[in-house]
Amino acid sequence: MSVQIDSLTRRISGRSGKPDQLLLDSVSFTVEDGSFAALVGPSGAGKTTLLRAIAGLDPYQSGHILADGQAMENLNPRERRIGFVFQSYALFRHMTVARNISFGLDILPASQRPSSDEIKRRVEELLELIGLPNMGGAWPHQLSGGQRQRVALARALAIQPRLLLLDEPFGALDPVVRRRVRSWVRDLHERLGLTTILVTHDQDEALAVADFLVVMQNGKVVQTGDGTSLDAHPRTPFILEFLGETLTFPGHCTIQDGQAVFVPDDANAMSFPVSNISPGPAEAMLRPHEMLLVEEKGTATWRSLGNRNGLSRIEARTTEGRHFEVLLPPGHTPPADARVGFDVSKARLFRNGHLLNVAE
Amino acid sequence: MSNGRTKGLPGLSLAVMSWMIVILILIIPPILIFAEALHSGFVAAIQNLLMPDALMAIRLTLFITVIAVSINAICGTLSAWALSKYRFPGRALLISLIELPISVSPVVSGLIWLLLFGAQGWWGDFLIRHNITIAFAWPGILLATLFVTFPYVARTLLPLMEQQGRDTEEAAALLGAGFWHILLHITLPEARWALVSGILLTTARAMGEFGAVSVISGHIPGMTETMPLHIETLYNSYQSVAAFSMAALLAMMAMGTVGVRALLEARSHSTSGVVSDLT
Repeated sequence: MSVQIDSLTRRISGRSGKPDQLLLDSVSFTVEDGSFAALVGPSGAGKTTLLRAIAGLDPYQSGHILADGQAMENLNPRERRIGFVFQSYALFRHMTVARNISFGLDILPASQRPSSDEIKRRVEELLELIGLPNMGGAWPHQLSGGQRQRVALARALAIQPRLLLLDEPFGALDPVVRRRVRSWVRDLHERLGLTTILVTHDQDEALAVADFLVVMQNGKVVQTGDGTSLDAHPRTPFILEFLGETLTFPGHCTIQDGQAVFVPDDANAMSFPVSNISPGPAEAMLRPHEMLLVEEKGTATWRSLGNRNGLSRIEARTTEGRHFEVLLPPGHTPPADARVGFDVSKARLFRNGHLLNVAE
Repeated sequence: MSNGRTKGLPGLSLAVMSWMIVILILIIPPILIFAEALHSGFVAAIQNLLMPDALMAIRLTLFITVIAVSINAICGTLSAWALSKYRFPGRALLISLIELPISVSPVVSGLIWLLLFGAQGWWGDFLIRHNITIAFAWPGILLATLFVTFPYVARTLLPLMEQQGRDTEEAAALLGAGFWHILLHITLPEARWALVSGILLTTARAMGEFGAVSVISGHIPGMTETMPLHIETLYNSYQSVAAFSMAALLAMMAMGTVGVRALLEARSHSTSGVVSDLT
């Protein structure tokens, strides 16, 4: 099912004289059928509010949510066919695992309910799918966090949803289990082809599982796209900083010898040519692995910090005392000279919080 | 613990002290009551309980208790549910109002009912004209008991329901369950131990209520006397064996209720979740 969010707005009236607060500020984007989308952003960005609005759990004042082009607000929860997995799992503690999973089928009106044999078979299939066969008779409190998580997923899948919503589903798991459940969910998505929307505040998690990211901040969608395009063309410095470590070099654009160039304020960073940018102040931002150290071009010192994931970690320190970590890609050996300058020509340039151009 | 032995009171003497207090205050009095009741023998005690006025008092007490507990179980559950799952203006005030019957002296609440429903009360004329008797009759006793025992179910459920939050209810709703199905199959089973515990507390309290009932009932032997009131009447007319027999029976009923509650609580801790639904 494709999901189209169209200028969705939710505000809560301010108490005791405070102005109204916009929880969702005309949010619009489309999740294609069969894709895995992640709503990411810092806490308070409105991700969970949005997910709950899509599920029909929370109200909104204006805008529309369309499922395959059909307005969702006219459908009751059963007709929406949405599978929702809560951060707390929300398993029914007084029911066995099997009854948790079959709950959505057991409560169907007799005319639509599958026979009890059929329900039993479906539950067994789902238990198989989540890798917990023969666990149907167990109680939720006997399961580990990761197992509860998977039971919650099976329960959501039992009603054969058209859309799967996951609210911080890995938040309560320890890091090792978390990575395992994460890749399992990704596999499951590929096998079932079910449109999935995930909420997370962890950008690594979003990049690892989702093929479409919706970055939110203060109730607004800042940018959408896949990880690579967001990293290459971040609309605002926030996007770049949110998606990973960044190094920032303030400076200004100017014309030298008939060529537009960006001149960093830091004398150690080298100017580089730019195109189609009017003169004025700007900020150059880049990833630690995109910066190169160049001998005899500056007065910064450096020292090695060892290796990380095959990249050499270098700490660079300017004479003004600023220091940061640079990652040298494989094949780039640390400079022989103790004095270096910075090649920042792979940076994205921002002015007044907006992307100017991408340096080639 | 070794810490306890080196600093402060030694653990053993603390234990001895607590047991002495328990024995003195909680165990000796019921034993004395039973001793007094059986003073003239078991047969005499039973005979006293079979007197018409005594039987009437027992019947009235059971009748009032069953109705009051049923009504308060339903109203208490619904109010705890509304107060814990929804945020609305005046919520904090309502929560403190629920506790009002605990803080107000039962005699005062009995007087209020009399003021409202008595022959000289605010609605007295209206009630007399329509042939409705509330004061000095069982409806009055029921109202007084309802008021005094209202907090117990709501107060035991409220913290539990608040802690449970709305996640499981919302999960059930998204799976297609309707309002009543969620209440009966999700919310109440999850809170069942607190509910049973609250009901038993209400029962113990309803059976033993004296102050409010004493004021509104008019104390008519064989008509509006519940067990506690009848005990007082018997005692004041120097029928001490009869009074203590009735007291022993009432104490046994209350202790039984509390005992069941303790048993259930122990069970709910050891096997939480492994017991079948309420429904």
